[in-house]
Amino acid sequence: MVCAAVAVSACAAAPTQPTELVSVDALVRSLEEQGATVTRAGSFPQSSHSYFSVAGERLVVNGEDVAVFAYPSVDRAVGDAAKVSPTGSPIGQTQISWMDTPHVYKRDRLIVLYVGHSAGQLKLLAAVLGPPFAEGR
Amino acid sequence: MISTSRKSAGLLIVALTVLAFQPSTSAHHRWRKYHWARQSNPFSVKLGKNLSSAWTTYLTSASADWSNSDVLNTTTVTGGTTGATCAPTSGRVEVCNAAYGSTGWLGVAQIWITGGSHITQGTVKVNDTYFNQAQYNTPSWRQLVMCQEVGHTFGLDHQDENFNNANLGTCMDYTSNPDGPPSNLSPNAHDYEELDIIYSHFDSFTSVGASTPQASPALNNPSEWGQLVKVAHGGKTQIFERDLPNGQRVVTFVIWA
Repeated sequence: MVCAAVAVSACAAAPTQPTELVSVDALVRSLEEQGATVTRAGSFPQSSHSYFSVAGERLVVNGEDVAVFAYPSVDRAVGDAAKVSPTGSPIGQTQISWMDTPHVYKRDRLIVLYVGHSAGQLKLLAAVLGPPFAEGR
Repeated sequence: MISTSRKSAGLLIVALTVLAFQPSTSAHHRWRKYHWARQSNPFSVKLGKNLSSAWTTYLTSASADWSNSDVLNTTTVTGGTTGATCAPTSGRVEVCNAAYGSTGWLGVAQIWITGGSHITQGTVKVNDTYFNQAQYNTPSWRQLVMCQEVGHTFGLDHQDENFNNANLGTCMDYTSNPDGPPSNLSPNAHDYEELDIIYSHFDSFTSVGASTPQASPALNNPSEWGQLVKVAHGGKTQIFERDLPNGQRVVTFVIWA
């Protein structure tokens, strides 16, 4: 009985997210599978997010901005994620005045940044990316 | 009676101990141990203007506000970069504005460090992508963000990071209403106290205004060896460390005769 209970629990905790997110394309597909409307709105220059080691790409997800940083390896993504303070600032040696509450996610080779407080957007991103590893108050 | 007297004496000692360990101020918002290296106070930090006319008055105000500190002065000077690139200049802070895009941030302050804690240069960026929008295109928002970002480049963190609680009356406080009351447009007494704490010691070199790497010191005099970090063999062996402004660290091993 104990073993059965553990097995059931493990299955229930398994993520419903896709097995791997290695590119912005894969993220867009996953968001759209969740019913989101996603527009790719171009790349940021490196100076716009100089606290990360790769340039970001801007997505407009259900009308709100989301920045995505795609890394060539999981290790690089982990390295940049480690620089992010639990509240979203500072990141490394950069202090940031966010215009709203920052939420920072990491999944596989991606770091995703959403600055806002829409409950629907937070639920959507959590469904695809898991909970944020850093967020403001 | 004797017992009561001893108890009173014990309480007195405890009270004195608590007082002795209380900091002299209530400020506690330094950004790690980051600080400009310098050998005396007050020291002067140049703020390079890479700004459009819409921003210059706010930098002037922020410079004047931070110069009210006992330990530092700031001066605004011609910028050494452009708003869009905002490249750093050794020994000072470059302050820039541009439309950096829908990044989610109003402003950022970046510093470069040598030796683990010494600031060698800094940049401030304010994002016109948002400041050109009606919500943020106000004197109060501009002053708050300029003051806060410049303050970070001296080694200050935020006093508070909750957007929705009451203002603390300092630009180092997150807010959704810069005007308050109280307004969050300028530093407050705690910021100046924290600067006094951060800059209460002196360094063996200066990173302020050091536009070119300095030659290595001769190290002929013990006063040039920096901080004593290890003593061994009954004091006969000592190790000193000194950080140089060019990012190098000089380690001096001394075996006394």
